[in-house]
Amino acid sequence: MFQFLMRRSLAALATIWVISIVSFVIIQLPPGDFLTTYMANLREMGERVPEEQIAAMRERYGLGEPMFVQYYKWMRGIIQDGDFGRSMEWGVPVSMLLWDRIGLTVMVGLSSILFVWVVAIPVGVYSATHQYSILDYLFTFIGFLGLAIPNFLLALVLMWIGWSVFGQNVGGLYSPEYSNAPWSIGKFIDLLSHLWIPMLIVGTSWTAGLIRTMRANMLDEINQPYVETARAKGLTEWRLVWKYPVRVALNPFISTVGYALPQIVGGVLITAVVLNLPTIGPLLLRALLSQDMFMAGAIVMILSILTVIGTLISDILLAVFDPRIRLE
Amino acid sequence: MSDVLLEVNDLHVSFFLTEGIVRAVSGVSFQIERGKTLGIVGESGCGKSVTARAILNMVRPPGRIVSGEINYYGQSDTPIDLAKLDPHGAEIRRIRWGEISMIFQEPMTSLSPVHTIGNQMIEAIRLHMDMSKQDAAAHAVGLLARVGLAQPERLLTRYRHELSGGMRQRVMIAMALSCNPKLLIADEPTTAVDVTTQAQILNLMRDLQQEFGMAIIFITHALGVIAEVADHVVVMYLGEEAEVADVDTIYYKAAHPYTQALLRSIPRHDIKLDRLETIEGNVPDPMNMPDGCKFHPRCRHYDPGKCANPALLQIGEQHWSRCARAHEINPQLSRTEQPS
Repeated sequence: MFQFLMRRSLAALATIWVISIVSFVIIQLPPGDFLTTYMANLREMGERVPEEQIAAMRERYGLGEPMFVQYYKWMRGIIQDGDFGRSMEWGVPVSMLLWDRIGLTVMVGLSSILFVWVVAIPVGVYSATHQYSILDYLFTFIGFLGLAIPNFLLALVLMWIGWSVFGQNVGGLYSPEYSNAPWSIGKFIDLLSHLWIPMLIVGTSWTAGLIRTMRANMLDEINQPYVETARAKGLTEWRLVWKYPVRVALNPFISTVGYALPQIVGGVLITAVVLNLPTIGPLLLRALLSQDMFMAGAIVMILSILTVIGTLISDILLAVFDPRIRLE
Repeated sequence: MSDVLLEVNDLHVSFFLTEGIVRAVSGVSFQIERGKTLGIVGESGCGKSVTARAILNMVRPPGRIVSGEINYYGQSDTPIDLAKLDPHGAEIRRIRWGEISMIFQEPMTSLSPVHTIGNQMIEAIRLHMDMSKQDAAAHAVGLLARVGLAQPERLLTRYRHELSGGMRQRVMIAMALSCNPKLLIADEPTTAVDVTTQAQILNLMRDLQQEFGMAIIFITHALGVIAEVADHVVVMYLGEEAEVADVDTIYYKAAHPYTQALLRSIPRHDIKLDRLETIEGNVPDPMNMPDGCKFHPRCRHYDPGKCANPALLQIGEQHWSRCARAHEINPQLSRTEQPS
């Protein structure tokens, strides 16, 4: 087990390193850089920027240097000081903007996963054990509906319902009075009261998909001879279903835990913009549009690291839960 | 108490599919005595496995026991009709494994892939016997040793993929015997293992039967295997019994063309043949059963004048055949054996 962990961790490190190069290169690929976009914007507003100031900024961010030198400096900053560079657009260190949002992103992500699992697994099991029953058809119908409705549309509708029925301001994750306040119990409760909308929206389409997966996995397992053995042993139907086929059908779920986070950040980008969520997605979108390369680079890097760690965790979980996986 | 342990009367099991109704078992009757072995032989799809599942009342939807009795004389002379029990009820769950246990054709997949052998055995033992976890584990170890598995303690923590096919089937047998059943149903237990292992498993089952004294229903498609284990034989064809008799009668005085054809298709070392005989034709489509005698499209003795709707005829003291021409096709049947 220790060897397995070591080997996997080393592989993860290597993967992160490769990702850092690729993401850095890709971010630099579009013609121009932050300063050209910046100046273009200023000119549009009719302002003039002194050449010396531009030159100074170019010098400060190292934009004139070859790409590998820029990469080297960036990486050195990250490894030595945990410094992801300065956001050119915001004029502050990237890390200052990032950590809060990462925390909230993970929060939205985890609560969505929880919601999805709590709904999808029992419904999937029920649909499989009562195949072609009325409820199975109903769940299938609702599921396809959930899959078909675009998230941003659902977000708009829920915002409207939240506003007109519950009188709640549902944009963002906090009420205005808490948005800049320090952490407190009141703020946390306020967060929870806002969290359910993104949770529901992110969850709906995802739940629909997972119900189908769970149902299909279960149908594969439920007629296996080992289930029949369990039934012949005299176990109650409830006990045997949850102990045997569900246990096996869950393995594909465990193995995809790692992808959940990037899926959420990428998949709910539009939702997050619509809902004005202080998560990473909108920040990344904006950074990419303005070619704020350190900001974009840092986000892509951190997301990649989270994905790699998530994959590592699901690999370990799978090795623990599925004895058929050999560690040697 | 009578000698009869289980009595199946006119059992009908059907599967209600959207394409139509498949009558997998249509009117089968047999009985099995305590401590004896009954062999059920037939081709794939003849309803033998469905019959076995019906005994434990675990035919799954869209299948269902339509009618008939399955009288189980477990404790006393007043039988329990297993066919009438609620398939999810406490009564049938007590009987499953506690009194009637079952082993399946696929030793590979009849054990859970993600639970240890010990977990699955102890679960069964504690479900039916009042034992602590430690006692149940000790009991399991004893059984594993009894079925000839080495290092039984270590086996408890093993998974199915770590065992060979023969070992898995031994584990299944040990598990099936764990609650001292009165009846063991073995559904093709040797089909999926190689021939050497097959012989070992058969010997083991015979020894265990003497030791534990349970009755066995042995389901197989191989008449050759039946010869080694069974006392009585039911030959099934398309959901009906074609012939019922004790094992010697089946081998030496077969009185149904299907049984005779099966016997001719067993390779024998004392007769040299260029080609082994096979039964002509295929098993008919279950949605579209032949009228009259179900075997007639494949029968070499078919005579339209005589063979309409044959009933199960008693042609000997313990010998029944569903062939209208039983006496004609088997000259060995003496006139005196006929009931008057």
